[in-house]
Amino acid sequence: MSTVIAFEDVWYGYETETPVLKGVSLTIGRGEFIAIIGGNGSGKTTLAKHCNGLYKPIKGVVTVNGEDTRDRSVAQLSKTVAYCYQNPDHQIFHQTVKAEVSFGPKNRGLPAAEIEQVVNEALAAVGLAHMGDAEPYFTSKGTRQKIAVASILAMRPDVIVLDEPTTGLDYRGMQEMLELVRRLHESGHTIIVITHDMRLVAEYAQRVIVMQQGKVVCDGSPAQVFAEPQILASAQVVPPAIYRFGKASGLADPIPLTYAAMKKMLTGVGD
Amino acid sequence: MKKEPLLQAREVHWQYEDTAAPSLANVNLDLYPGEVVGVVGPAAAGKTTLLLTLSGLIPANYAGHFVGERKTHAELGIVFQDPETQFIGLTVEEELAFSLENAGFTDTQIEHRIGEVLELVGLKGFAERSPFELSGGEKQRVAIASALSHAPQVLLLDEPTSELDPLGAREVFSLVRRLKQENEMTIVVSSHATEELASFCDRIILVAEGRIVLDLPVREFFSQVDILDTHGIFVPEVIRLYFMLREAGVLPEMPDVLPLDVEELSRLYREAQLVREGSW
Repeated sequence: MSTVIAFEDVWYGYETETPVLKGVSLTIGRGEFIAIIGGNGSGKTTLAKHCNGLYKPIKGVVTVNGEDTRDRSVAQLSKTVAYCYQNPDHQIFHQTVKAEVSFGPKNRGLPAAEIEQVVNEALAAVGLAHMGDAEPYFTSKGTRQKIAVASILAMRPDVIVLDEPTTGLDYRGMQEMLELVRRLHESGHTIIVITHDMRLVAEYAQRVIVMQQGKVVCDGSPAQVFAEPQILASAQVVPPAIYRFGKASGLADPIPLTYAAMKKMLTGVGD
Repeated sequence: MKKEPLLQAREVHWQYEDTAAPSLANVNLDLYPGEVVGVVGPAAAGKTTLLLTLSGLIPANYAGHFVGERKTHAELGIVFQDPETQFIGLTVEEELAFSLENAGFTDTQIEHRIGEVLELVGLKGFAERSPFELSGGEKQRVAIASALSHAPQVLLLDEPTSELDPLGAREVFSLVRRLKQENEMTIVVSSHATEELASFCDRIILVAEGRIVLDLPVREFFSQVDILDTHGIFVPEVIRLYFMLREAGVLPEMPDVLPLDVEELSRLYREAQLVREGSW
Protein backbone atom coordinates (compact mmCIF):
# COMPACT_ATOMS: atom_id res chain seq x y z
CA MET A 1 0.00 0.00 0.00
CA SER A 2 1.53 3.33 -1.03
CA THR A 3 1.64 6.18 1.46
CA VAL A 4 -0.63 9.12 0.68
CA ILE A 5 -0.19 11.22 3.85
CA ALA A 6 2.69 11.11 6.31
CA PHE A 7 3.17 12.89 9.66
CA GLU A 8 6.73 13.12 10.99
CA ASP A 9 7.04 14.39 14.58
CA VAL A 10 4.29 16.98 14.05
CA TRP A 11 3.76 19.69 16.65
CA TYR A 12 1.04 22.30 16.51
CA GLY A 13 -0.11 24.97 18.95
CA TYR A 14 -2.37 27.98 19.08
CA GLU A 15 -0.35 31.05 20.05
CA THR A 16 1.57 30.49 23.27
CA GLU A 17 -0.75 27.93 24.84
CA THR A 18 0.10 24.29 25.50
CA PRO A 19 0.63 22.53 22.14
CA VAL A 20 -2.43 20.75 20.74
CA LEU A 21 -0.30 18.20 18.87
CA LYS A 22 2.85 16.95 20.53
CA GLY A 23 5.04 14.95 18.19
CA VAL A 24 2.61 12.96 16.07
CA SER A 25 4.15 10.48 13.62
CA LEU A 26 2.04 8.23 11.40
CA THR A 27 1.49 7.23 7.79
CA ILE A 28 -1.80 6.87 5.97
CA GLY A 29 -1.88 4.40 3.12
CA ARG A 30 -3.92 4.76 -0.06
CA GLY A 31 -7.33 3.11 0.28
CA GLU A 32 -7.37 2.86 4.07
CA PHE A 33 -10.52 3.48 6.17
CA ILE A 34 -9.31 5.14 9.36
CA ALA A 35 -11.28 6.34 12.38
CA ILE A 36 -9.73 8.95 14.65
CA ILE A 37 -11.17 8.85 18.16
CA GLY A 38 -10.42 10.64 21.43
CA GLY A 39 -11.92 12.91 24.07
CA ASN A 40 -12.59 16.63 23.85
CA GLY A 41 -9.40 18.60 23.30
CA SER A 42 -7.41 15.47 22.45
CA GLY A 43 -6.28 17.00 19.15
CA LYS A 44 -8.22 14.82 16.70
CA THR A 45 -9.72 17.67 14.66
CA THR A 46 -6.37 19.49 14.67
CA LEU A 47 -4.71 16.33 13.39
CA ALA A 48 -7.31 15.96 10.63
CA LYS A 49 -6.96 19.61 9.56
CA HIS A 50 -3.26 19.00 8.91
CA CYS A 51 -4.18 16.45 6.23
CA ASN A 52 -5.20 19.10 3.68
CA GLY A 53 -3.03 21.97 4.92
CA LEU A 54 -5.79 23.89 6.74
CA TYR A 55 -3.21 23.80 9.55
CA LYS A 56 0.53 23.61 9.00
CA PRO A 57 2.87 22.20 11.66
CA ILE A 58 4.90 24.57 13.83
CA LYS A 59 7.47 21.77 14.03
CA GLY A 60 7.84 18.55 12.05
CA VAL A 61 6.52 17.77 8.59
CA VAL A 62 3.25 16.66 6.98
CA THR A 63 3.53 15.38 3.44
CA VAL A 64 0.74 14.66 0.95
CA ASN A 65 1.89 12.43 -1.89
CA GLY A 66 5.43 13.15 -0.73
CA GLU A 67 5.08 16.95 -0.88
CA ASP A 68 5.47 19.13 2.21
CA THR A 69 2.08 20.80 2.98
CA ARG A 70 3.92 24.03 3.83
CA ASP A 71 4.91 24.33 0.17
CA ARG A 72 1.32 23.94 -1.06
CA SER A 73 -1.83 26.07 -0.68
CA VAL A 74 -5.07 24.55 0.63
CA ALA A 75 -6.52 25.05 -2.86
CA GLN A 76 -3.74 22.91 -4.37
CA LEU A 77 -4.02 20.27 -1.66
CA SER A 78 -7.82 20.14 -1.97
CA LYS A 79 -7.42 18.32 -5.29
CA THR A 80 -5.98 15.41 -3.30
CA VAL A 81 -7.46 15.75 0.19
CA ALA A 82 -10.95 17.11 0.93
CA TYR A 83 -12.18 18.09 4.38
CA CYS A 84 -15.86 17.92 5.25
CA TYR A 85 -16.89 19.97 8.28
CA GLN A 86 -18.95 18.57 11.15
CA ASN A 87 -21.69 21.14 10.61
CA PRO A 88 -22.68 21.27 6.92
CA ASP A 89 -24.07 24.79 7.47
CA HIS A 90 -20.48 25.98 7.97
CA GLN A 91 -19.73 25.27 4.34
CA ILE A 92 -23.02 25.69 2.45
CA PHE A 93 -23.67 29.17 1.02
CA HIS A 94 -25.36 28.85 -2.39
CA GLN A 95 -29.03 29.13 -3.30
CA THR A 96 -29.30 25.79 -5.09
CA VAL A 97 -27.78 22.39 -4.49
CA LYS A 98 -26.24 22.36 -7.96
CA ALA A 99 -24.65 25.80 -7.55
CA GLU A 100 -23.26 24.70 -4.20
CA VAL A 101 -21.66 21.55 -5.62
CA SER A 102 -20.39 23.44 -8.71
CA PHE A 103 -18.46 25.98 -6.64
CA GLY A 104 -15.28 23.91 -6.21
CA PRO A 105 -14.88 22.69 -9.82
CA LYS A 106 -15.69 26.21 -11.11
CA ASN A 107 -12.88 27.60 -8.97
CA ARG A 108 -10.57 24.99 -10.42
CA GLY A 109 -11.33 26.54 -13.80
CA LEU A 110 -12.78 23.40 -15.37
CA PRO A 111 -14.69 23.83 -18.67
CA ALA A 112 -18.49 24.03 -18.34
CA ALA A 113 -19.15 20.58 -19.79
CA GLU A 114 -16.74 18.95 -17.36
CA ILE A 115 -18.23 20.87 -14.43
CA GLU A 116 -21.66 19.58 -15.43
CA GLN A 117 -20.28 16.05 -15.53
CA VAL A 118 -18.46 16.08 -12.16
CA VAL A 119 -21.40 17.76 -10.42
CA ASN A 120 -23.86 15.22 -11.79
CA GLU A 121 -21.56 12.37 -10.75
CA ALA A 122 -21.12 13.82 -7.26
CA LEU A 123 -24.86 14.30 -6.76
CA ALA A 124 -25.55 10.78 -8.02
CA ALA A 125 -22.92 9.36 -5.65
CA VAL A 126 -24.70 10.84 -2.60
CA GLY A 127 -28.16 9.99 -3.92
CA LEU A 128 -29.23 13.57 -4.63
CA ALA A 129 -29.34 13.50 -8.46
CA HIS A 130 -32.98 14.62 -8.34
CA MET A 131 -32.36 17.59 -6.05
CA GLY A 132 -30.08 19.83 -8.09
CA ASP A 133 -32.54 22.72 -8.09
CA ALA A 134 -33.53 22.45 -4.42
CA GLU A 135 -32.52 25.16 -1.94
CA PRO A 136 -30.02 23.63 0.49
CA TYR A 137 -31.35 25.45 3.57
CA PHE A 138 -34.83 24.02 3.07
CA THR A 139 -33.60 20.42 3.18
CA SER A 140 -33.10 18.14 6.19
CA LYS A 141 -29.85 18.03 8.16
CA GLY A 142 -29.08 14.62 6.64
CA THR A 143 -29.52 16.01 3.12
CA ARG A 144 -27.38 19.07 3.90
CA GLN A 145 -24.71 16.69 5.16
CA LYS A 146 -24.87 14.84 1.82
CA ILE A 147 -24.71 18.14 -0.11
CA ALA A 148 -21.52 18.94 1.80
CA VAL A 149 -20.07 15.54 0.85
CA ALA A 150 -21.13 16.04 -2.81
CA SER A 151 -19.35 19.42 -2.82
CA ILE A 152 -16.08 17.80 -1.87
CA LEU A 153 -16.60 14.83 -4.22
CA ALA A 154 -16.90 17.27 -7.10
CA MET A 155 -13.24 18.09 -6.47
CA ARG A 156 -12.47 14.41 -7.14
CA PRO A 157 -10.14 14.04 -4.17
CA ASP A 158 -8.28 10.81 -3.39
CA VAL A 159 -8.64 11.28 0.36
CA ILE A 160 -11.83 12.33 2.15
CA VAL A 161 -11.68 13.58 5.73
CA LEU A 162 -15.05 13.64 7.50
CA ASP A 163 -15.43 15.39 10.85
CA GLU A 164 -18.22 13.73 12.87
CA PRO A 165 -20.39 12.96 9.81
CA THR A 166 -23.24 11.42 11.83
CA THR A 167 -23.69 14.05 14.55
CA GLY A 168 -27.21 15.45 14.83
CA LEU A 169 -28.71 12.93 12.39
CA ASP A 170 -31.51 10.56 13.29
CA TYR A 171 -30.80 6.83 12.99
CA ARG A 172 -31.97 6.55 9.38
CA GLY A 173 -29.96 9.61 8.37
CA MET A 174 -26.96 8.11 10.14
CA GLN A 175 -27.30 4.76 8.34
CA GLU A 176 -27.56 6.50 4.97
CA MET A 177 -24.47 8.58 5.67
CA LEU A 178 -22.48 5.51 6.77
CA GLU A 179 -23.51 3.54 3.68
CA LEU A 180 -22.45 6.49 1.53
CA VAL A 181 -19.04 6.54 3.22
CA ARG A 182 -18.74 2.77 2.73
CA ARG A 183 -19.49 3.15 -0.99
CA LEU A 184 -16.91 5.93 -1.31
CA HIS A 185 -14.34 3.68 0.33
CA GLU A 186 -15.23 0.77 -1.94
CA SER A 187 -14.88 3.01 -4.98
CA GLY A 188 -11.25 3.61 -4.02
CA HIS A 189 -11.21 6.70 -1.79
CA THR A 190 -9.05 6.83 1.30
CA ILE A 191 -11.39 7.65 4.20
CA ILE A 192 -10.45 9.38 7.45
CA VAL A 193 -13.36 9.84 9.87
CA ILE A 194 -13.24 11.73 13.15
CA THR A 195 -15.92 10.19 15.28
CA HIS A 196 -17.34 9.46 18.70
CA ASP A 197 -19.56 6.75 17.25
CA MET A 198 -18.17 3.37 18.29
CA ARG A 199 -20.61 1.46 16.08
CA LEU A 200 -19.11 3.26 13.10
CA VAL A 201 -15.67 2.27 14.36
CA ALA A 202 -16.64 -1.38 14.96
CA GLU A 203 -18.50 -1.92 11.71
CA TYR A 204 -16.69 0.24 9.18
CA ALA A 205 -13.16 1.22 10.17
CA GLN A 206 -10.14 -0.93 9.34
CA ARG A 207 -7.81 1.05 11.54
CA VAL A 208 -8.36 3.23 14.61
CA ILE A 209 -6.11 6.01 15.83
CA VAL A 210 -6.72 7.03 19.45
CA MET A 211 -5.66 10.57 20.37
CA GLN A 212 -5.07 11.79 23.88
CA GLN A 213 -3.57 15.14 24.91
CA GLY A 214 -2.09 15.73 21.49
CA LYS A 215 -0.47 12.33 21.11
CA VAL A 216 -1.33 9.08 19.38
CA VAL A 217 -1.79 6.64 22.26
CA CYS A 218 -3.05 3.68 20.24
CA ASP A 219 -3.06 2.79 16.55
CA GLY A 220 -4.44 -0.56 15.43
CA SER A 221 -7.44 -2.55 14.25
CA PRO A 222 -10.78 -1.95 16.04
CA ALA A 223 -10.38 -5.29 17.88
CA GLN A 224 -6.89 -4.34 19.08
CA VAL A 225 -8.03 -0.90 20.24
CA PHE A 226 -11.16 -2.12 22.07
CA ALA A 227 -8.94 -4.59 23.96
CA GLU A 228 -7.19 -1.64 25.67
CA PRO A 229 -9.74 -0.60 28.34
CA GLN A 230 -7.43 1.87 30.09
CA ILE A 231 -6.59 3.71 26.91
CA LEU A 232 -10.26 3.82 25.92
CA ALA A 233 -11.31 5.15 29.32
CA SER A 234 -8.70 7.90 29.20
CA ALA A 235 -9.95 8.81 25.72
CA GLN A 236 -13.52 8.94 27.12
CA VAL A 237 -14.63 6.15 24.80
CA VAL A 238 -16.94 3.23 25.61
CA PRO A 239 -16.63 0.12 23.37
CA PRO A 240 -19.79 -1.04 21.57
CA ALA A 241 -22.32 -3.12 23.53
CA ILE A 242 -21.60 -6.30 21.52
CA TYR A 243 -17.97 -6.16 22.62
CA ARG A 244 -18.86 -5.32 26.25
CA PHE A 245 -21.29 -8.28 26.29
CA GLY A 246 -18.50 -10.59 25.13
CA LYS A 247 -16.18 -9.25 27.80
CA ALA A 248 -18.79 -9.51 30.59
CA SER A 249 -19.65 -13.07 29.52
CA GLY A 250 -16.04 -14.23 29.62
CA LEU A 251 -15.76 -14.97 25.88
CA ALA A 252 -12.29 -15.66 24.54
CA ASP A 253 -10.34 -13.02 22.61
CA PRO A 254 -10.64 -11.76 19.97
CA ILE A 255 -14.16 -10.73 21.00
CA PRO A 256 -16.42 -10.16 17.99
CA LEU A 257 -17.48 -6.60 17.13
CA THR A 258 -20.45 -7.28 14.87
CA TYR A 259 -23.75 -9.17 15.26
CA ALA A 260 -22.80 -11.68 12.59
CA ALA A 261 -19.41 -12.43 14.12
CA MET A 262 -20.91 -12.77 17.61
CA LYS A 263 -23.59 -15.14 16.37
CA LYS A 264 -20.97 -17.22 14.61
CA MET A 265 -18.84 -17.42 17.74
CA LEU A 266 -21.72 -18.50 19.99
CA THR A 267 -23.40 -20.92 17.60
CA GLY A 268 -20.57 -21.96 15.33
CA VAL A 269 -22.87 -21.04 12.45
CA GLY A 270 -22.48 -17.98 10.25
CA ASP A 271 -25.13 -16.22 8.21
CA MET B 1 -48.59 4.06 40.90
CA LYS B 2 -51.95 5.21 39.50
CA LYS B 3 -52.24 8.62 41.09
CA GLU B 4 -53.97 11.59 39.51
CA PRO B 5 -52.21 12.58 36.29
CA LEU B 6 -50.20 15.81 36.40
CA LEU B 7 -50.87 16.50 32.76
CA GLN B 8 -53.41 15.24 30.27
CA ALA B 9 -53.80 15.68 26.53
CA ARG B 10 -57.02 14.56 24.86
CA GLU B 11 -57.62 14.25 21.12
CA VAL B 12 -55.09 16.96 20.42
CA HIS B 13 -54.65 18.13 16.82
CA TRP B 14 -52.26 20.91 15.92
CA GLN B 15 -51.35 22.39 12.56
CA TYR B 16 -48.81 25.21 12.19
CA GLU B 17 -49.96 28.13 10.06
CA ASP B 18 -49.13 27.80 6.35
CA THR B 19 -48.36 24.10 6.48
CA ALA B 20 -50.02 21.35 4.44
CA ALA B 21 -50.46 18.73 7.14
CA PRO B 22 -51.06 18.64 10.89
CA SER B 23 -47.95 18.24 13.07
CA LEU B 24 -49.94 16.44 15.76
CA ALA B 25 -53.03 14.31 15.19
CA ASN B 26 -55.24 12.49 17.68
CA VAL B 27 -52.74 12.72 20.53
CA ASN B 28 -53.83 11.28 23.86
CA LEU B 29 -51.43 11.26 26.75
CA ASP B 30 -51.47 11.06 30.56
CA LEU B 31 -48.41 11.97 32.57
CA TYR B 32 -48.24 10.67 36.15
CA PRO B 33 -46.18 12.02 39.07
CA GLY B 34 -42.64 10.62 39.27
CA GLU B 35 -42.67 9.12 35.77
CA VAL B 36 -39.77 9.54 33.40
CA VAL B 37 -41.09 9.30 29.85
CA GLY B 38 -38.92 9.12 26.74
CA VAL B 39 -40.13 10.41 23.37
CA VAL B 40 -38.54 8.96 20.23
CA GLY B 41 -39.29 9.37 16.56
CA PRO B 42 -37.60 10.07 13.25
CA ALA B 43 -36.60 13.63 12.31
CA ALA B 44 -39.64 15.89 11.80
CA ALA B 45 -42.00 13.33 13.41
CA GLY B 46 -43.52 15.87 15.81
CA LYS B 47 -41.41 15.32 18.95
CA THR B 48 -40.65 19.01 19.51
CA THR B 49 -44.25 19.95 18.71
CA LEU B 50 -45.46 17.39 21.24
CA LEU B 51 -43.26 18.86 23.97
CA LEU B 52 -44.25 22.42 23.07
CA THR B 53 -47.90 21.33 23.29
CA LEU B 54 -47.42 19.60 26.64
CA SER B 55 -45.71 22.77 27.92
CA GLY B 56 -48.60 24.95 26.75
CA LEU B 57 -46.34 27.06 24.49
CA ILE B 58 -48.52 25.60 21.72
CA PRO B 59 -51.03 27.09 21.10
CA ALA B 60 -50.20 30.11 23.33
CA ASN B 61 -47.07 31.33 21.52
CA TYR B 62 -47.42 29.82 18.05
CA ALA B 63 -49.69 30.54 15.09
CA GLY B 64 -51.79 27.62 13.96
CA HIS B 65 -54.94 25.60 14.49
CA PHE B 66 -55.43 23.76 17.80
CA VAL B 67 -58.18 21.25 18.52
CA GLY B 68 -58.61 19.14 21.62
CA GLU B 69 -57.85 19.59 25.27
CA ARG B 70 -54.75 19.92 27.41
CA LYS B 71 -55.18 19.96 31.17
CA THR B 72 -52.57 20.53 33.85
CA HIS B 73 -52.35 21.87 37.37
CA ALA B 74 -48.58 21.37 37.52
CA GLU B 75 -45.75 23.90 37.21
CA LEU B 76 -43.71 23.05 34.10
CA GLY B 77 -40.15 23.79 33.03
CA ILE B 78 -38.89 23.30 29.47
CA VAL B 79 -35.36 23.05 28.03
CA PHE B 80 -34.60 23.25 24.30
CA GLN B 81 -32.02 21.57 22.05
CA ASP B 82 -29.60 24.46 21.82
CA PRO B 83 -29.11 26.04 25.26
CA GLU B 84 -27.49 29.17 23.81
CA THR B 85 -30.74 30.25 22.20
CA GLN B 86 -32.23 30.80 25.64
CA PHE B 87 -29.30 32.51 27.41
CA ILE B 88 -29.72 36.22 28.13
CA GLY B 89 -27.48 36.77 31.17
CA LEU B 90 -23.77 37.60 31.09
CA THR B 91 -23.11 35.35 34.07
CA VAL B 92 -24.71 32.09 35.15
CA GLU B 93 -26.08 33.92 38.20
CA GLU B 94 -27.75 36.63 36.07
CA GLU B 95 -29.12 33.95 33.81
CA LEU B 96 -30.76 32.15 36.71
CA ALA B 97 -31.85 35.34 38.51
CA PHE B 98 -33.74 36.80 35.56
CA SER B 99 -36.93 34.79 35.76
CA LEU B 100 -36.88 34.70 39.57
CA GLU B 101 -36.66 38.52 39.67
CA ASN B 102 -39.55 38.73 37.25
CA ALA B 103 -41.56 36.44 39.49
CA GLY B 104 -41.04 38.88 42.39
CA PHE B 105 -38.68 36.88 44.62
CA THR B 106 -36.54 38.87 47.09
CA ASP B 107 -32.75 39.10 46.65
CA THR B 108 -32.17 36.73 49.56
CA GLN B 109 -34.63 34.21 48.18
CA ILE B 110 -33.04 34.47 44.73
CA GLU B 111 -29.52 33.94 46.08
CA HIS B 112 -30.65 30.96 48.08
CA ARG B 113 -32.53 29.41 45.16
CA ILE B 114 -29.63 29.92 42.74
CA GLY B 115 -27.31 28.16 45.18
CA GLU B 116 -29.78 25.29 45.43
CA VAL B 117 -30.30 24.73 41.69
CA LEU B 118 -26.60 25.04 40.87
CA GLU B 119 -25.86 22.37 43.43
CA LEU B 120 -28.67 20.25 42.00
CA VAL B 121 -27.19 20.29 38.48
CA GLY B 122 -23.61 19.86 39.74
CA LEU B 123 -22.41 23.39 38.90
CA LYS B 124 -21.62 24.74 42.35
CA GLY B 125 -19.06 27.54 42.02
CA PHE B 126 -20.16 28.45 38.47
CA ALA B 127 -22.31 31.49 39.43
CA GLU B 128 -19.80 34.11 38.23
CA ARG B 129 -18.90 32.33 34.98
CA SER B 130 -20.20 33.41 31.57
CA PRO B 131 -22.71 30.84 30.30
CA PHE B 132 -21.30 31.28 26.78
CA GLU B 133 -17.81 30.14 27.80
CA LEU B 134 -18.87 26.82 29.32
CA SER B 135 -18.61 23.37 27.69
CA GLY B 136 -21.69 22.05 25.87
CA GLY B 137 -22.68 19.79 28.76
CA GLU B 138 -22.26 22.62 31.28
CA LYS B 139 -24.33 25.01 29.12
CA GLN B 140 -27.16 22.53 28.93
CA ARG B 141 -26.98 22.01 32.70
CA VAL B 142 -27.29 25.79 33.19
CA ALA B 143 -30.39 25.71 30.96
CA ILE B 144 -31.78 22.86 33.09
CA ALA B 145 -30.94 24.80 36.28
CA SER B 146 -32.83 27.75 34.85
CA ALA B 147 -35.86 25.57 34.12
CA LEU B 148 -35.64 24.13 37.66
CA SER B 149 -35.35 27.50 39.41
CA HIS B 150 -39.12 27.77 39.87
CA ALA B 151 -39.23 24.26 41.32
CA PRO B 152 -41.50 22.85 38.60
CA GLN B 153 -43.13 19.44 39.13
CA VAL B 154 -42.59 18.51 35.49
CA LEU B 155 -39.42 18.98 33.46
CA LEU B 156 -39.68 18.80 29.66
CA LEU B 157 -36.38 18.25 27.81
CA ASP B 158 -36.43 18.54 24.02
CA GLU B 159 -33.48 16.61 22.55
CA PRO B 160 -31.23 18.02 25.28
CA THR B 161 -28.10 16.29 23.96
CA SER B 162 -28.45 16.54 20.18
CA GLU B 163 -25.99 19.45 20.01
CA LEU B 164 -23.54 17.89 22.48
CA ASP B 165 -20.57 15.56 22.14
CA PRO B 166 -20.82 12.18 23.93
CA LEU B 167 -19.17 13.49 27.08
CA GLY B 168 -21.61 16.42 27.35
CA ALA B 169 -24.47 14.03 26.59
CA ARG B 170 -23.34 11.70 29.38
CA GLU B 171 -23.29 14.65 31.82
CA VAL B 172 -26.85 15.64 30.92
CA PHE B 173 -28.22 12.08 31.04
CA SER B 174 -26.62 11.39 34.41
CA LEU B 175 -28.22 14.59 35.69
CA VAL B 176 -31.61 13.35 34.44
CA ARG B 177 -30.96 10.03 36.21
CA ARG B 178 -30.14 11.88 39.44
CA LEU B 179 -33.23 14.12 39.22
CA LYS B 180 -35.29 10.97 38.87
CA GLN B 181 -33.67 8.98 41.68
CA GLU B 182 -33.00 11.69 44.25
CA ASN B 183 -35.72 14.23 43.50
CA GLU B 184 -38.41 11.97 42.04
CA MET B 185 -39.05 14.53 39.32
CA THR B 186 -41.54 13.92 36.57
CA ILE B 187 -39.58 14.21 33.35
CA VAL B 188 -40.40 13.99 29.64
CA VAL B 189 -37.31 13.76 27.44
CA SER B 190 -37.17 13.45 23.66
CA SER B 191 -34.01 11.99 22.19
CA HIS B 192 -32.51 9.74 19.49
CA ALA B 193 -30.26 8.17 22.15
CA THR B 194 -32.37 5.07 22.73
CA GLU B 195 -29.60 3.25 24.64
CA GLU B 196 -29.61 6.04 27.22
CA LEU B 197 -33.42 6.24 27.34
CA ALA B 198 -33.55 2.47 27.97
CA SER B 199 -31.37 2.98 31.03
CA PHE B 200 -33.62 5.43 32.90
CA CYS B 201 -37.09 5.77 31.34
CA ASP B 202 -40.14 4.12 32.88
CA ARG B 203 -42.08 4.45 29.68
CA ILE B 204 -41.36 5.41 26.07
CA ILE B 205 -43.52 6.97 23.38
CA LEU B 206 -42.89 6.58 19.65
CA VAL B 207 -44.11 9.53 17.59
CA ALA B 208 -44.32 9.31 13.80
CA GLU B 209 -46.04 11.69 11.42
CA GLY B 210 -47.60 13.52 14.34
CA ARG B 211 -49.23 10.46 15.86
CA ILE B 212 -48.41 8.39 18.92
CA VAL B 213 -47.60 4.97 17.48
CA LEU B 214 -46.44 3.28 20.71
CA ASP B 215 -46.79 4.27 24.36
CA LEU B 216 -45.47 1.43 26.52
CA PRO B 217 -43.39 0.59 29.60
CA VAL B 218 -39.73 0.52 28.60
CA ARG B 219 -39.21 -3.27 28.29
CA GLU B 220 -42.42 -3.75 26.33
CA PHE B 221 -41.54 -0.80 24.14
CA PHE B 222 -38.21 -2.24 23.05
CA SER B 223 -39.82 -5.65 22.42
CA GLN B 224 -41.55 -4.06 19.40
CA VAL B 225 -38.44 -4.34 17.25
CA ASP B 226 -40.34 -4.63 13.95
CA ILE B 227 -42.30 -1.44 14.56
CA LEU B 228 -39.15 0.41 15.67
CA ASP B 229 -37.34 -0.79 12.53
CA THR B 230 -40.23 0.34 10.33
CA HIS B 231 -39.95 3.84 11.76
CA GLY B 232 -36.16 3.96 11.58
CA ILE B 233 -35.62 3.98 15.35
CA PHE B 234 -32.27 2.68 16.61
CA VAL B 235 -32.82 -0.50 18.59
CA PRO B 236 -30.10 -0.67 21.29
CA GLU B 237 -27.43 -3.25 20.41
CA VAL B 238 -28.06 -5.23 23.60
CA ILE B 239 -31.71 -5.70 22.67
CA ARG B 240 -31.02 -6.64 19.06
CA LEU B 241 -28.35 -9.07 20.21
CA TYR B 242 -30.80 -10.60 22.72
CA PHE B 243 -33.37 -11.36 20.01
CA MET B 244 -30.68 -12.68 17.68
CA LEU B 245 -29.32 -15.05 20.36
CA ARG B 246 -32.81 -16.21 21.25
CA GLU B 247 -33.60 -16.95 17.64
CA ALA B 248 -30.30 -18.84 17.29
CA GLY B 249 -31.18 -20.97 20.32
CA VAL B 250 -28.30 -19.61 22.42
CA LEU B 251 -30.79 -18.08 24.87
CA PRO B 252 -34.00 -19.85 25.95
CA GLU B 253 -37.41 -18.60 24.77
CA MET B 254 -38.49 -18.29 28.41
CA PRO B 255 -38.36 -16.46 30.76
CA ASP B 256 -39.22 -13.53 28.58
CA VAL B 257 -37.72 -10.55 30.38
CA LEU B 258 -36.10 -8.19 27.93
CA PRO B 259 -32.57 -7.28 29.05
CA LEU B 260 -31.87 -3.54 28.81
CA ASP B 261 -28.14 -3.43 29.42
CA VAL B 262 -24.98 -5.50 28.93
CA GLU B 263 -25.03 -6.83 32.50
CA GLU B 264 -28.61 -8.12 32.22
CA LEU B 265 -27.93 -9.79 28.87
CA SER B 266 -24.67 -11.32 30.08
CA ARG B 267 -26.42 -12.72 33.17
CA LEU B 268 -29.07 -14.38 30.97
CA TYR B 269 -26.35 -15.82 28.75
CA ARG B 270 -24.35 -17.22 31.68
CA GLU B 271 -27.49 -18.72 33.25
CA ALA B 272 -28.32 -20.39 29.95
CA GLN B 273 -24.77 -21.77 29.81
CA LEU B 274 -25.12 -23.23 33.33
CA VAL B 275 -28.43 -24.88 32.43
CA ARG B 276 -26.83 -26.36 29.31
CA GLU B 277 -23.83 -27.68 31.24
CA GLY B 278 -26.07 -29.03 34.05
CA SER B 279 -28.16 -31.01 31.58
CA TRP B 280 -25.13 -32.92 30.30
